[in-house]
Amino acid sequence: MLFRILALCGLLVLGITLNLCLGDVFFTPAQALNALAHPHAQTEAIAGLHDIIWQIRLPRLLIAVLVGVALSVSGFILQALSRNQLADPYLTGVSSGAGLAIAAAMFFQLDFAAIPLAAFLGGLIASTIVALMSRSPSGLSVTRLLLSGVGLSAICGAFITLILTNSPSLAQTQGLFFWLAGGIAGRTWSELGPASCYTAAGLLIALLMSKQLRLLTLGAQSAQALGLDVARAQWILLSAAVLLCGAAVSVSGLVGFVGLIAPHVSRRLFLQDERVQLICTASIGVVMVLFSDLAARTLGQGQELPLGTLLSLIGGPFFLLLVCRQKGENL
Amino acid sequence: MNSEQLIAENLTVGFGKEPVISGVNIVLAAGQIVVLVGPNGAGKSTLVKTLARQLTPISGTVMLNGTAIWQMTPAKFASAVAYVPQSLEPAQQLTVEEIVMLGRNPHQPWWQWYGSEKDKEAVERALNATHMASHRKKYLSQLSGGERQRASIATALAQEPSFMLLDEPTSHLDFRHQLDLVSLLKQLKANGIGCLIVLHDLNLIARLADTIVLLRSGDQRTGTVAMVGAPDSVLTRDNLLSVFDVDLQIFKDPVSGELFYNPTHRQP
Repeated sequence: MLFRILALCGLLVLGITLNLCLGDVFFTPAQALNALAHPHAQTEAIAGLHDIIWQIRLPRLLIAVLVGVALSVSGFILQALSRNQLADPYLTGVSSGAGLAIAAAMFFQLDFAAIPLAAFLGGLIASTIVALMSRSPSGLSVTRLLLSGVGLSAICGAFITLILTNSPSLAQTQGLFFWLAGGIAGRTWSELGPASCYTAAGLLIALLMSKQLRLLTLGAQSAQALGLDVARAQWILLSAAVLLCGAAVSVSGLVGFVGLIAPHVSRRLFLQDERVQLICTASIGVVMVLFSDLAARTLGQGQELPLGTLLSLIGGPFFLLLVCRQKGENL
Repeated sequence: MNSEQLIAENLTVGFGKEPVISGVNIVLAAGQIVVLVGPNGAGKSTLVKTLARQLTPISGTVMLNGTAIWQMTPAKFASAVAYVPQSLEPAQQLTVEEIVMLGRNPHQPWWQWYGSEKDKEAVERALNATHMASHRKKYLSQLSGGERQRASIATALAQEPSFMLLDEPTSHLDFRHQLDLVSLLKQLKANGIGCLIVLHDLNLIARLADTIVLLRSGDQRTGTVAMVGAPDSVLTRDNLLSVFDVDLQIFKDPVSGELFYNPTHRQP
């Protein structure tokens, strides 16, 4: 167990270091550290390099961390809420709503800076519709949540395709495609602010309510018998999950897979109480996004590869390996 | 002896607007064992779920010490009334000890995660009372049906309630653990805890019950209460024949004087 935790920490440090050092311009770890230690460049000579770290690499690194934390914790909450290991953040309709909002924003040629906000709002609206549809007298009906999420996603997906096929310009289609494929290229400090507030709030709620999460894994009936206000706990946790996922989507577009895999890997590798698992889940999510983003900007030879696609390519085989090794257990 | 009571008044319960059982009056007092008996589909489990605050009644009320249970918070209710469902859903990755500790939830503030000394003592007592102490580190998914049932009872005991509602608590237990449960229930009764139990085994019922509520599945499938009373007045050949359509022999053990019930054949 200790070895696994140390290995995870090692991967985190390695991922962060590589993300700061590698790219079109190469830094040694010492140079990167030096630039980080001095927010204002001391000489003209290193000002350019300094700017690369402070204006490009660091915000991108922090956004990768944020996306990793937000998606994985959101997935963790939803898997516990639905008691289903296949649940992922996008089942709540967040992704499809956000995707549709992005498509609409591009179609109506809104300012590029407005897209994160549009994505966030679109995600919130869609997941609110899904959540309202899955209301039941005793709280949330998980089955209806999953079903209405799938239904709404199909409708939004259809609209996105309609917009894509009727798009007047190729550039617009391409821009939209890159948002839908997910990626964090060219993100700046200004996009980090709001999203990090939502992520911090969601993570805090999840940590504070870890006992309630554990009670809910017993099923709504047993949880209520043990004195949990099931409906209230479900609504608070669902809101946290939606905020987290909405925050991620608003800065990264539709990055899949992390929310599904990170909680799963964490459960397999770290049999511990929910708080430890939450932290491990978040760390695994961060590691996944860091390495995938690294691959996205270094393997593409001048062109960025879509982050979501790379995540599936790297995470997928690992996930399948884990599933195969679990034969016979309660999967 | 305190005067705590869980009372069902003129209760009609069911799913949606469809009544499953109607016109139920039950008084469960401290230190009393009330047993619900009746054929499949008479509404026993639905009734227990309603008393456990899991279902809203169609009409009528359930009062706990003079307060309608729907006006209490879930935690307040759960600190006084524990519910043991027919089967515990197998949760992922929780050990017996962790599940039983969740029984302390109604006594803890919402943010408290780790059990206090008092919580740990209650968990220890519950594990010992159900002979689950040696299984404490096992995951629920590794347990047999009977062990899972005992873990569920242990969780309810850790709640340290005044009343316990048990839905067929012996259904997965071998006869040794059935006997253990009978003595546990008698112990709870001696400690002033009121128990409402759904049971099918007439011989167990006769040894346990202070009061028997005999249910009948009525016309249009809505159940009713056929009779309420002490075991020897309710568990008669005629009553059981009329509710279950089954004839039985009842004989007395010459040594202990206890009655034995032997269902013989079904009446057409």
